Formats: sequence, C-alpha cells, structure tokens
Amino acid sequence: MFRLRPKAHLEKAERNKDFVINRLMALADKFPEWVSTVAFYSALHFVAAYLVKEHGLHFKDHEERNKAVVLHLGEITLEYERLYDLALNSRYGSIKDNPEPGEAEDAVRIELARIEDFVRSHL
Amino acid sequence: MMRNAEKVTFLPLKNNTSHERLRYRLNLVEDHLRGSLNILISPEEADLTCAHLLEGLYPQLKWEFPLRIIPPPRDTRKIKTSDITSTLRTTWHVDSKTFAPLSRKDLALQFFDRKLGEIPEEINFYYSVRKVENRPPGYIIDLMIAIPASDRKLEYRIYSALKDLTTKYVDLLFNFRIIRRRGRPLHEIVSEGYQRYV
Repeated sequence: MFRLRPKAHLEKAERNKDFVINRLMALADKFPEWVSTVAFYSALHFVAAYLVKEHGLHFKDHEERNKAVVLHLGEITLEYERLYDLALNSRYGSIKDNPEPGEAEDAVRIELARIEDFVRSHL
Repeated sequence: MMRNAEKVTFLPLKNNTSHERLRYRLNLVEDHLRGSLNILISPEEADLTCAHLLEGLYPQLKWEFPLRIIPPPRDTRKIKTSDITSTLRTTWHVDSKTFAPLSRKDLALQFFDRKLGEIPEEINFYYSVRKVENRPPGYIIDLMIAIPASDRKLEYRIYSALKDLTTKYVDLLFNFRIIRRRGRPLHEIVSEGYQRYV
C-alpha cells in the first residue's frame, strides 16, 4: 500500500488538475467520461492530502475514504460524492452512463474547484 | 422449526409481512450465515402467519408449530441462551454476533429509504451486500439509486441523504452509484445481485 505524504498527494492532485483543465476539457464534448474521471482523481488526492496531514489517515479503498470525507470534510462532502459518482459511472458503466459534457465540465469548474479551495485553505 | 440446530438467527418481521419481503429477508439471512439458517420470528404482536409463510417457502424442511414468538430484543448481546427454547425445550445457541450487524444493516437501509422518501421525485433504490475480508464490519452495502435522467438538484439531494446515512451508521461501509435511466428499463440497468428495497 502506498502511503504518500501530503505534499506528494498535492502534487498528484495538481498534475491531474493540470491534465484535465489544459488537455481534457477541450475534449469534453466527445469524452466527458475522461474529464470526470481525472477530475475525481485530482479531488481524491486533494482530500487525501488533507486526511493525511490533519488526521494521519491513509486509505486504499474508496469506501473507507468516502466515510472519512463525510466525517472530517463535511463542508465538501457533497462535492466529493458528486465527483465519485460521475467517475464511477464513467469508469464502470456503459457509454449511456457517461456524464453529459456539461456535467463533466461543471465537475471541474465547480466541484473540483471547491474541493481544492477548501483543502488549500486548510492546509 | 428445524431440529438439532445450533444457531438461531432472529428475523424481526411484522405480522403483515408480505411474502415477497419475507423471501428477500430470508435470502439476506441465508447468505449471511452461508446456509446455516435457523429462524425465530418476532415481534410481540406477530402471529403464526410468518411461520406458515416459511413453511410455504421452504416445503422441503420439516417445521414444528407453533413457533415460539418472542419480542425482538433491542440489544441481542443481552440475550441469554436460556431465553430461547423450541417447543421441545431444546436450548438453542443464539448467534447474536451474527444478528447484530444484520440488524444494523436493516436499520441503515430503512433509514436511507426514509431519507429518499423525503424526495418527491421518482427514485428506485436497490442494494446488494458484499462480503469483504479484514475490513470492519466485514461487508459493504452497495446502493444503487435509479433516477429518470440527469438532474443536478435531485442528485445533490441524494448525495445529502448518503451523507446522513454515513454519519448515522458510521460503523458500516457503503458504496453508491446513481444511475440515470435515460429511457432504459430498470431491468437493463440494475446489476445482477442487486435487490430492490421494498
């Protein structure tokens, strides 16, 4: 199991965010599933950075991490659940389960942005 | 009731329990105990309706009537083995450890159902229980919530219900997925192994 330090999580979060904003957003009409997937993994590393730094919590499974987000990051829980849901459908659902392009773009502009803002302001 | 059993699992049922509901609850218990299923029915006001339903569902088993009807315990850890006897005065071992998480899961599902019931839009809710090793409580409740189409406001209300569920049942593990039907019939989108919560 990987146990990254907060700084390493933030670097991963930033790298994923860079990729989704500067590359994938231009493709959102055609590949919204990849926009929402990478947005989620950026958010995952943002919250992981917070959970490691503030609570010493490392997770390898989504269910435990999701619970920790509810318990320790109530302010951004709904945004995180949103990204988790869209990304889960993107990764494992059929093409019909993909988010719509507008939903994927909002996931980056609204949900991911809120999560990043919160985490950065609390670290 | 089956003879010579070693375990008893409480199956809290109301006396107006439907055939369908009884069947899926039995499936849950059966799955949980991996087949070693013995049942004692409650609650206080229940009559033998449930027992006769059981007889109909499992005609291959030998049943004894009347079953002893006991009130559902609030805390199964407080039950003493001697509290529970069959009509033949056989003492049964109470597997309260098994019952406790099962009950907790049922309560959580009821709670989530109530939360979703507060939302006026059309929502269908399915669930599945998946065993996991070395991750307390030993299983994950997978929730699948089907809605007609993308609806940001509605989806946020569902996320909020999930947050409440996780906060209240912090000892359990949940996974969830919202499915936007987009014209697809439910049988096409509900994964195998999921049961509709009724």
